Amino acid sequence: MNNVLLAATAIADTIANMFRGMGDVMRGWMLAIPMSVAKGIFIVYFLLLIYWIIKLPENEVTLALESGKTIHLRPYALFSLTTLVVIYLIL
Amino acid sequence: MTFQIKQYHPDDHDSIYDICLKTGNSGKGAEHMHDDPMILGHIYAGPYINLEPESAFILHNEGHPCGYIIGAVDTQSFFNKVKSNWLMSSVDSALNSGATIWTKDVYQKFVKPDASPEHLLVVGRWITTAMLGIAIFFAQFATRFESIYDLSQTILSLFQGPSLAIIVLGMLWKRATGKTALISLISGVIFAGTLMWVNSNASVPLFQVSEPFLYVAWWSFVLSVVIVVVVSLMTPPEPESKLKGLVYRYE
Repeated sequence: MNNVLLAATAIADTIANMFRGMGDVMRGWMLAIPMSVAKGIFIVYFLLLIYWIIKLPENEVTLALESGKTIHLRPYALFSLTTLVVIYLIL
Repeated sequence: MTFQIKQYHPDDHDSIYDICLKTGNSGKGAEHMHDDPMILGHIYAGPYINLEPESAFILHNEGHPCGYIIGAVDTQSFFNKVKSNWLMSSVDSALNSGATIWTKDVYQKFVKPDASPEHLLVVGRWITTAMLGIAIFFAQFATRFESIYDLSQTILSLFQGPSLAIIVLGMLWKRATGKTALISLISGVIFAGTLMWVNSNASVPLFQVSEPFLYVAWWSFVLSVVIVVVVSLMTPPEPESKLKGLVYRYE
């Protein structure tokens, strides 16, 4: 049983070491980005989505139900995304 | 009005479930909150009236049931009974539904379409046994997690990355093919499982956070995207008729 555990650890270590160096380099890059920039990128992503939704043609943001009722999806999407932006600006 | 308290009798079963539903919303009716009218009674009243009927009483108003009181004489023994009898019936239902899905939707559809009902019944029993065995096997790993939340997130993270990659590329890129999606899904799940295994078995964990499920999901997503792109470009494209209306802005 001990041999099995030792072999498992050896295999896991080998695989981990393959990724570890590359992972450390990437972690270094990520840590070099200031938190304010990271937060900005995150918010810009949602702003781009908002822009995209505003620009979508009307037929792609309406849903016609069998009952004849039409649901306009754009306001809901904009409200959700705007809420996210506000939340991340506050936090 | 003439009130009378009577000992619970099995004939009162439906009345108790009905009262439970009519008072299940903080004393108000909960009929509008549940698709299944039996569910509240099944959860809150059923265990008591079935497992400890001697401590269940029903209030009658001029012969009509209008209220009930239920309880357990010994909480510990009642809890054990609930665990072994009542919850087991729920586990039993889950196993039955799981076995039915695998038997009808997988075995009969892909393995033996002309199977007789008797044959499917036997297969269903074997699948139930196998599912129970798998559940018992995985239970030992469940105890390693601090909470059920950690466990569910870890299991979900195995599938989240590859599934998202397939859905996003399938919706946005007309060149993505069906076979590639399957290859990507299987590879992504295996890769995510390998990362999890390596992280928990290596001398020094691969990730520097205690619950790395988001990292696992991310890297399996990246790998799945790469596989979908590379393999799709190496395989023949799907026919246009199959894609129109499904891929974004491809009419």
